[in-house]
Amino acid sequence: MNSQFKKGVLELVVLAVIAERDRYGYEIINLVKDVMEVNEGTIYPLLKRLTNEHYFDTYLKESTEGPPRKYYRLTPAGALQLGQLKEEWFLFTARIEKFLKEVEGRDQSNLPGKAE
Amino acid sequence: MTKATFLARLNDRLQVLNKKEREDILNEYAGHIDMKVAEGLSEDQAIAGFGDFDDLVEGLLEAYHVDPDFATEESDTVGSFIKRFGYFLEDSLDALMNLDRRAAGQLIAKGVILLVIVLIISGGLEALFSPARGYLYGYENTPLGAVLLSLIGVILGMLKIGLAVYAIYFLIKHYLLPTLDEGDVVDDPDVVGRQASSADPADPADPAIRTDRRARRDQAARPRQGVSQNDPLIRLAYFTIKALVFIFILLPAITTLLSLLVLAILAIAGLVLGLPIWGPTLLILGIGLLSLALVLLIWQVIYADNKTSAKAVAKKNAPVVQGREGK
Repeated sequence: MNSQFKKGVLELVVLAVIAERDRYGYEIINLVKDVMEVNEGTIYPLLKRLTNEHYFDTYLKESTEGPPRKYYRLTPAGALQLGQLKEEWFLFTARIEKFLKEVEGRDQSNLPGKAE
Repeated sequence: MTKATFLARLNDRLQVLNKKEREDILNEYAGHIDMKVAEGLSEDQAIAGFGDFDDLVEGLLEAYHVDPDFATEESDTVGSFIKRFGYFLEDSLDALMNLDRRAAGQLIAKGVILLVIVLIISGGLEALFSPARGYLYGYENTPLGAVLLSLIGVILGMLKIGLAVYAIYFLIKHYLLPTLDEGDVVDDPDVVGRQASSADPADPADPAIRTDRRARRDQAARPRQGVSQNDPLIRLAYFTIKALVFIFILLPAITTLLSLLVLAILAIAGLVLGLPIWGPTLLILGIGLLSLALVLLIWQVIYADNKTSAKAVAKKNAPVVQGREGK
């Protein structure tokens, strides 16, 4: 999948994952990997950036399986951003779909290899 | 790469950030690596999953709106050279630690071959210089003849040392360090399993091959954590190297350092008293600084236990990981 495309969508997916419930880093990575192919290395920098932009609050919570884990929680600003990105996504994909359907319906004699 | 090396390098590259942020980032990565290792991956594989190291650093710095180029600018090329040399030594030690007996045997065999080549070349060099030497032996009682003879000796010596050092560097770079990457392939249980099953029909009777593959499979099943505790021979070699380095490099260097210190004090006293010994004084100070740098470098790389907060982070998480493995 195109990498520029992925970058934009990744933010949307991460925000949505955390909107559902407070989560910690490793958990977030696994959930995102279920949705789309992603390099684990890019998730932590992304989380850092979104935290610095105040879309997330973080807090430490004790864990039974090891050292305390850092949890991410969506802020109101983050919720707003998520809403905006979702709206943009649906608008964008709707327009692309519409366009592709129109082109398909039209005369296709320009395609190479098609019988005249 | 081991977890400790990865965290240390990350710590270095993120120096522009404040301590709290850096520790926060390092903790996240340390925790992530630990969880991957608990799932059965090796540290190498967990770290390889992060992708390109430089891209990772760039992404992190961008999150703080730091120009990544600003952070990597090394105005001091000697410093960066020393750092790279330090990394080279660390990687070599890592690779040594993770050798299995087969790879160690191969390495020794290649080392012997290189040794033979070096001997042949130095023999050739000797032969090259011998006519000149022979001619000069007639004049060794004259000042000029003596000087030229010792000059040839010095040049020959330096050439041979240079050759030996290069051979060792070559051996490490092309045969030892690649085993660090090889480890990923050999460790993959799927790959090893496939190798084992496909090989058995071919050589069912050869016990040497079978035990070797079984040993590799066993190693793959155990998650590797940097220091491979399974091979006592390798551990012995590791401690022997540490001891040898201490006896033959560190001790002489420290002794030299101390005597130079005494000499330096005497020289400075002489200067104060008016003796015209600027040259020798500076020489003593210069050599003293070099010895100091050498001692510090070796200490840092081979013996340091509290290198940076990165190591402290790794240590903090370690006891818990071992506890989990006990289950």
